[in-house]
Amino acid sequence: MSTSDISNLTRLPAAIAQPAPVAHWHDDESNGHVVQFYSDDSFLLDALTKFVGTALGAGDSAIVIATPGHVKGLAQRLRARGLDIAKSARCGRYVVLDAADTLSKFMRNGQPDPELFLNIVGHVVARASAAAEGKNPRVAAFGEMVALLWAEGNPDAAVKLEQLWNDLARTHSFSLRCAYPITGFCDETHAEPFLKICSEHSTVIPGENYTTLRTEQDRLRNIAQLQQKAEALETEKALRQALRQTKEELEKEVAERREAQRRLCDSELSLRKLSGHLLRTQDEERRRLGRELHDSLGQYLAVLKMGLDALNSSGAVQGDAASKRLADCLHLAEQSIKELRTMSYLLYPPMLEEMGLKTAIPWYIDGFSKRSGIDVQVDISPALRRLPRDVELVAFRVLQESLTNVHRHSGSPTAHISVCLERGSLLLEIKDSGKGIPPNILEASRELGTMGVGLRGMSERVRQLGGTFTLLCESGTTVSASLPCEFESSCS
Amino acid sequence: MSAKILIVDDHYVVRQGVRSILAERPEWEICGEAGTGEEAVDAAATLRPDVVILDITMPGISGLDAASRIVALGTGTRILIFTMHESQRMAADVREAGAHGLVQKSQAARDLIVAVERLLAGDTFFAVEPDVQPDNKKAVTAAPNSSLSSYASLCFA
Repeated sequence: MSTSDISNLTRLPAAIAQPAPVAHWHDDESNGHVVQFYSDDSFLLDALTKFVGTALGAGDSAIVIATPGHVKGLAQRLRARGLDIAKSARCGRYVVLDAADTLSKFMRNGQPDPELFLNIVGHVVARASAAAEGKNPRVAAFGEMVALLWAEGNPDAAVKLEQLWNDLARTHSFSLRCAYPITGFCDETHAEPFLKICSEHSTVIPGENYTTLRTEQDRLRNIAQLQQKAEALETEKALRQALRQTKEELEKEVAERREAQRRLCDSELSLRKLSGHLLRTQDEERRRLGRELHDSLGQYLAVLKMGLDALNSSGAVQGDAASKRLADCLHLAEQSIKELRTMSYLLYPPMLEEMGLKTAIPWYIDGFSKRSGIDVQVDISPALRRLPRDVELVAFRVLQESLTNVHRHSGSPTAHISVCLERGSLLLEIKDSGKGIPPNILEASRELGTMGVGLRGMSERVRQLGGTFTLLCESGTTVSASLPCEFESSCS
Repeated sequence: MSAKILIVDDHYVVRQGVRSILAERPEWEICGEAGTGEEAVDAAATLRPDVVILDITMPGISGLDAASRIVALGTGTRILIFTMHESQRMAADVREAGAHGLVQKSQAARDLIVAVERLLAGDTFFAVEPDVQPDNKKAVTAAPNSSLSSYASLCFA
């Protein structure tokens, strides 16, 4: 066989364009650079036995660069065919090399080194060629180093090695057979490198499914069947692509929603912080205003009235007009004091800081009962002592707010309040016998906070202190709050 | 009847007002003044007044706390609570603190002299005072023109 045997390589597309060869698949395979695809090892070994056996039988040389399993299987089959391969090996006509071992000798940085390949493999081919007998000595070579590279996921190196074999064929005479398991080309991304590999060979032998078909008619039917399968696969591929796209879109949406939810949580948290801050600021402001009114302006008014009283009783003011004017002034001073007192008490519970809940609650209830006409029963545990200022104030605000609701909304003529300390928590309950809160308003207050500024305010205040707030509408309304107050203030 | 009186209030003008009312009785000596509850207790211990006129809301301990501490001194000082606060409960709280009398600042001209006299005589003084006026009720039920309605709704919102 001359160099030209495989130097006039046919490109694959052109090969495909040819009608399927009528001759038997094995007839024309001894020349050129042939690639054989296979599913089953025994099919490969049978074909290989024929390829190598024919060469050895004709006195030619054979080089086998294969995996240990294939080397062993081939040897068995050749012996079964009556060939004395041990003798051929001794004569240098049957050269067996381990594929992985040989590969490692010329692979550098994941690619076959051209010079090393030409030296190493070229030397093997030359020696085998020299050992061949007969008038036209030939060398049949089988190699699956390329298949190993492909299996390793290095298709570029496989193609490159195929090209190096073609280069070697320009200076050395041999007939080369490559083999790849077809199962290695199962992914759609393999399509392009598969075509590249085919294009490096003069002949492509399809897997046994096709090769073993004997008649033209069978092959045409098989082609039609393969076309149908390809069509179905294409459709499935498109479907899968669409599914993948949908999945990606869904995943993206899920991620976006998660992100949105996270942001929502964040903003809810910061809103809660803000509302807590606002409530505290509001309380502080009311406290300041209330005390300021009471402690400062109130004192001046009281002293003003003392002065006017003194003037009045001194008899220094003479005449009806002057006396009347003085009386008017006195009345005005009295009114101012009363109004100021109410204002300051509403702004900040009187005596809460000085005396605590035990005093401030009854004080407040007295005023409330008078203003509203609601009969309020107060049940304060005798064990109630001074609590941290925050706890006292929140408890008082909850009480104040609840009583306002009783007055404004419940229509209840009575209310019952109980305050006690239990297991380190202040328990507060305000109960009325009114009409309760209509469910729709209750719901709306939860969702929108329409009527619920008061309710939500209470609940938020309690929550800020780590307590619980519950609202029960059952034969009237019951507001309950539990405020932890383990860390008592120093006031007692 | 001569007597030593201690005036306790965190506002100078109030102390002055009390002084001017008590000036009606030259035989009463204003033995001292104090601006906080703590100062009041100290002054009561050193000056041993017959009567202390004592405000409730002051910086530091409240007047009621101060009253209890002064009683605990065992000096026999009579204590008159003098306050802006107004509640029916007030008298009970004042009694509980151990004080002997209660006068509202707004009624100082009317009650103060009488109250001191009563206390000096070993008696008590608790004037009955109607504390919540009809005006207040009007304010809380939110009459639109009431000057208080906005405050009431602010607090009840």
